[in-house]
Amino acid sequence: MVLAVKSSKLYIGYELDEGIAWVVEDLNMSIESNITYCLIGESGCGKSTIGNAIAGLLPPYAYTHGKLIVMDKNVIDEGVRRFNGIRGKIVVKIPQDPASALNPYMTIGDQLDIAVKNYFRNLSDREVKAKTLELLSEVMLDREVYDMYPHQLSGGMKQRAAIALALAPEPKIIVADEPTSSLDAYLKHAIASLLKKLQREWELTMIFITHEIPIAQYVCNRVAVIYAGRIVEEGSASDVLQNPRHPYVELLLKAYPKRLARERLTDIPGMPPPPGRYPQGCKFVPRCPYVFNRCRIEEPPLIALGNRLIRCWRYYE
Amino acid sequence: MIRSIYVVVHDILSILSRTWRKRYSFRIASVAMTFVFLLAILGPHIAPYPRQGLGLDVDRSRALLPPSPEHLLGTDSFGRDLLSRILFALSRALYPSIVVAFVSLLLGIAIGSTATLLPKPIEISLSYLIELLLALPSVLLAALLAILMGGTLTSIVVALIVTWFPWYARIAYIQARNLKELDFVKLPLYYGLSKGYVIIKHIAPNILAPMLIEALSDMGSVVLEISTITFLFGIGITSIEEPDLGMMIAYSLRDLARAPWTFLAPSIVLATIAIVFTVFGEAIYEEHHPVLKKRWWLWF
Repeated sequence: MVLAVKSSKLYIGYELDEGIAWVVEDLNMSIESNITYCLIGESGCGKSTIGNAIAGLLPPYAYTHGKLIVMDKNVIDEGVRRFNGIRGKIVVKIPQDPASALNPYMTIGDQLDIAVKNYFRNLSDREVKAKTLELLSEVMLDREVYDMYPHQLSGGMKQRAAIALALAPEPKIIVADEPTSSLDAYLKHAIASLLKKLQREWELTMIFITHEIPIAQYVCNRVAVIYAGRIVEEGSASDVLQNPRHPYVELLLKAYPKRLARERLTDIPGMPPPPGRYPQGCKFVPRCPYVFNRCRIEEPPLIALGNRLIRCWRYYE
Repeated sequence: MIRSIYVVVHDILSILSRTWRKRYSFRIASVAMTFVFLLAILGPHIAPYPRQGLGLDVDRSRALLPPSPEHLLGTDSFGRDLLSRILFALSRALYPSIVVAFVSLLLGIAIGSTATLLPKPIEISLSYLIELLLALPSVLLAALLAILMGGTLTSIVVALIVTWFPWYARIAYIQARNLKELDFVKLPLYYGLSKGYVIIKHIAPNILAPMLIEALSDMGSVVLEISTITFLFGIGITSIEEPDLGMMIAYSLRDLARAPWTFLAPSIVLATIAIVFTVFGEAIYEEHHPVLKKRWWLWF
């Protein structure tokens, strides 16, 4: 089994006045190639930071520590970041907001042409255009879109155009940062199934960041639930989302409305801890219903339980 | 490239037509502005006394005549027909102001949008330099340049460009800073496209439309500024024969008590131009920024 992304003891932080706030801490993650790997979690828990780190789009003021290996290349090695040759060629990112990814003063065709030309420099103009039209049909857009401006497209079409733009360099890994968050319920499903189809046909490794459980269930093979910058539960999608073990995941699934469900929705009391002010011991202590003494003192390691990984003292033998 | 120009033009035209539909003041101002431009273009051809208008004919015996059917606005102290003088002066006031507004617009966009993508220390020092230039008084600079360059219209134009472009550069810089955080500017840079390309294709077209409107509304102030400089120093015009609104007002001051029309006619023309341009620009500006629509309420 080939690993597309592997991280060991990865720390990512941003500079504050008081020092460095570590947003992602002690991340040990290994993603096999040709699967869809899902990162689920609340807002502000570090999902997007992990996605940006893999896509090589960390801002220059970010601090890193540990190791991240993408496609056998050591991109983050302690403080050094070497993304040349990886970023934009092997790993691309599908942006959260398609409106900000497209230049309002250029046609979709022009923008795609430039992206294609940037990666395949020895193509003639005619070949570039053919390739662009192929990309457009790949994301199920009409040929007319080639001559349209972003403001003439609907939200779903814009997102499709943004996906086409990301696929232009023929990448191996795509990081989809909440690609469905700005769409309505029908389009959410349409875009998700498009991404699923592309993942299968292009043999991509997709890292899918979302906070919507039904979409994750539909698209993903493996799921990692992130809380306070660390993985709390990881396993195959059907396993984790049907039969959660970690108390946070249990509560998270109860907080999401299910079709035809009779049980009441509950919320998780409290707030996720802000980066830089994580509590001592297990990070879920202030909100956990099953808390006991050991949780407050020591942080649990990520332990294997059957075919999943879990970070909780309750399952520690 | 042609298509992106077309989009910018289309943007501007849509703003203009929207303002036309909603604002009476804008309709009046744009009709008046068209009239002023027509007069400036046709003026030299329809002037009743073209030689007097250019200042070639001087007839002291007909000096300071009041308005009459023969001389609709009267004559000045050299016996020249004031109407012809004003018609000739109009084009000499408008053309330099167009040059000043658009050259400083282009300079401002180029500098402002380049500054955002330069390394941090250069960016900061460049923005400080621009703010330093903002403090430069245009009138004094024009006087200095007139000494250095020998008193031509070019020296006034250069002085005004140097003092006007920092305003545009600052607006362009602020707008480009907003764009810099968007994905279609950020990602190409990360993915290895050149900075010049990103500036030309992604940043400049996006800030051009609002800045063009800014330049249009500023042209009234530029006309006023040129006239101020010629009123004070008379530079840019080698002799007093040349028709120029600022200089006409300056020379009429001596005969203010005896022949007020020599003072009133050019000043009213100048005030009209300034008011028309300002109302024109203000209407578009307030229509373009919906937040500012009720700005006058803040005065009370």
